[in-house]
Amino acid sequence: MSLLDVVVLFGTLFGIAAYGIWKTRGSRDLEGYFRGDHTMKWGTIGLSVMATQASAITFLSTPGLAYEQGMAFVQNYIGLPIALVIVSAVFIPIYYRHGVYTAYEYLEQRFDLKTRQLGAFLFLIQRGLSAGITIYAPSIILSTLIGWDLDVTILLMGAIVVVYTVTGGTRAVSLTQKHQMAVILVGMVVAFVLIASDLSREISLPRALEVAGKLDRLEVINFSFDYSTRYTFWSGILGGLFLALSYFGTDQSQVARYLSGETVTQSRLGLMFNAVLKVPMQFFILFTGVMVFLFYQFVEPPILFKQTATQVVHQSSRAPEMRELEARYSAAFQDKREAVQLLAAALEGGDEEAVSVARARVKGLEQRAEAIRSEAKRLVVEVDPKMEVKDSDYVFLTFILHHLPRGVVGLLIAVIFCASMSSTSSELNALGSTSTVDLYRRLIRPGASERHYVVVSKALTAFWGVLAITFALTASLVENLIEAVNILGSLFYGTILGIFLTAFLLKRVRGNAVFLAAIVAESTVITLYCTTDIGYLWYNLIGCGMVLGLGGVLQAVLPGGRHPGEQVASAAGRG
Amino acid sequence: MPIDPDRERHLIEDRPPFFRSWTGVYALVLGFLGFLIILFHLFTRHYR
Repeated sequence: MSLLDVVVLFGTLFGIAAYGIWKTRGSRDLEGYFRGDHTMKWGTIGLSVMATQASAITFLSTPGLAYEQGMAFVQNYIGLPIALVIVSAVFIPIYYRHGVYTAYEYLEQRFDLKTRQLGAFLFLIQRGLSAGITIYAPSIILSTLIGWDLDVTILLMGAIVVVYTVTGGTRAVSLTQKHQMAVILVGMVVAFVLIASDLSREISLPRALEVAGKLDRLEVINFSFDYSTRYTFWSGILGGLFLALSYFGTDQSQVARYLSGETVTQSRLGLMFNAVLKVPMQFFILFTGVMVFLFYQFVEPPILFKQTATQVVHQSSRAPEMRELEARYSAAFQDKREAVQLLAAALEGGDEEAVSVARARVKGLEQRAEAIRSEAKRLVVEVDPKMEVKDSDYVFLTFILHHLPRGVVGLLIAVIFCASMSSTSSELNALGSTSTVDLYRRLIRPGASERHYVVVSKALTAFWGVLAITFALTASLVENLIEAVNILGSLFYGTILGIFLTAFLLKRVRGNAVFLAAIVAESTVITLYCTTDIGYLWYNLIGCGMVLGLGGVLQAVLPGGRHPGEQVASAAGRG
Repeated sequence: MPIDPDRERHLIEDRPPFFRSWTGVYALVLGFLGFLIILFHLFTRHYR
């Protein structure tokens, strides 16, 4: 990175963090620390909700996913606007009426203490692990590509977030997220414009899109009913709906964002802002990935985007084999480039048969290049068995570092850091509030002063921050990162959502029934994950459906499970 | 279940801008989603 990039990067990161700390100093009670004194307007809530969800993984992994598989991933978000409408219409009024700090507080009011503890416990496990991934994921990629030490990168990112989240609480999280999201949106638009401009030197944009379509990168909607296809319209609108409903309705990292609204209206508008913008934004990020794919049809990419992997081989006795693979890959790329140009010319001429022949040739050469990449990956693993060779998460950042101008590189790396810090800060804030309100204040020391709880909240938020950093320092991931986070969420979210929907919809079901149903549902989801290959979004539906169904059945059969009203009515009937 | 009276007031006074009720806002949001799905479908068909 150049000096200009470093100035842009650190100026952005420290500037936003310092602003957040300065603006939010001096919260003395839980109301101020966890609900920001209800001062947030809809714009801040909207950007804050968006920034919480859009982690660094979104900006690293999603373009890589589009580069490899096309745009079908956008279907995962189709259920999201429907979920936000439901949260706005059903969840927000209930949370506001009961004046809760955390979503799980409501579960005790509706059911009992153990159900509240179960909800909080499932959240703490799931979100505690995710917080580690949100710091680790961008750090490993940034450190690999920029050449920074991984531990230093993790510590830098983690330390800045912990400091402003602990000192400023919810308001600091929301205010910094507003500015971080602004940097993210500006950065992504700048990246897109520059890619499009670079690409237009090789091929016109409309023609480039036709090429991408012929190479199966522009299939956005798939109405197939095949349950094992990971991204379909049906899994998106059903599984995605339940995932989003659970995430936005019951995950404290999101609930805290909209509960800090000045009024109910501001909270609801903040969610509607996301309901309208989230799907187009996700489409735009994937589309940027397709543009990078097109760019690399004309400019030779490295054999592996994770260049530390190839360097390991180059520094070993098997370097000649890697050089030979690189030469073969380069030749395959040149052939493919010519074939892509022929395909573009055939599309220009409108000759269907020529298009079909050219497409088949490009596909064949694509397979040849991919086979060489697989050989290179095998070679890397033979030289260093511990080296992770999956490289789709490195595609976008490789492009940024090698093909964008000075200053913009710093801005886009700031985008990745900002995204990571914004979602991590929400997570830590939510972990701190849940462990303070649902565990410490409820079980360990009820009735202490507000000041005492604020001090404990800060200590617990710092504890979760240190735990996340420690996890990140020792983690090792193998899956595509955005999928790892979604899979982890899907394993727990269905059950949590089931508990909440039972609370809202099945008025006669009580604590014992829903608690047992939740335990059975969670065990089933984990068993299914270990033994089948069902697309992970379906776990949300399965977990939620099981809690609702079993909860109703258990309420009817458990001893003393009948509703008091029914018992009175029966007794009256007997009399 | 305890209900906070001040918050109940917030809910009663809750009105969206430009619309009489939230139902209209929700219909607009879901209509926009429907529009996006149709657009994505046409996009997919065009480039297939």
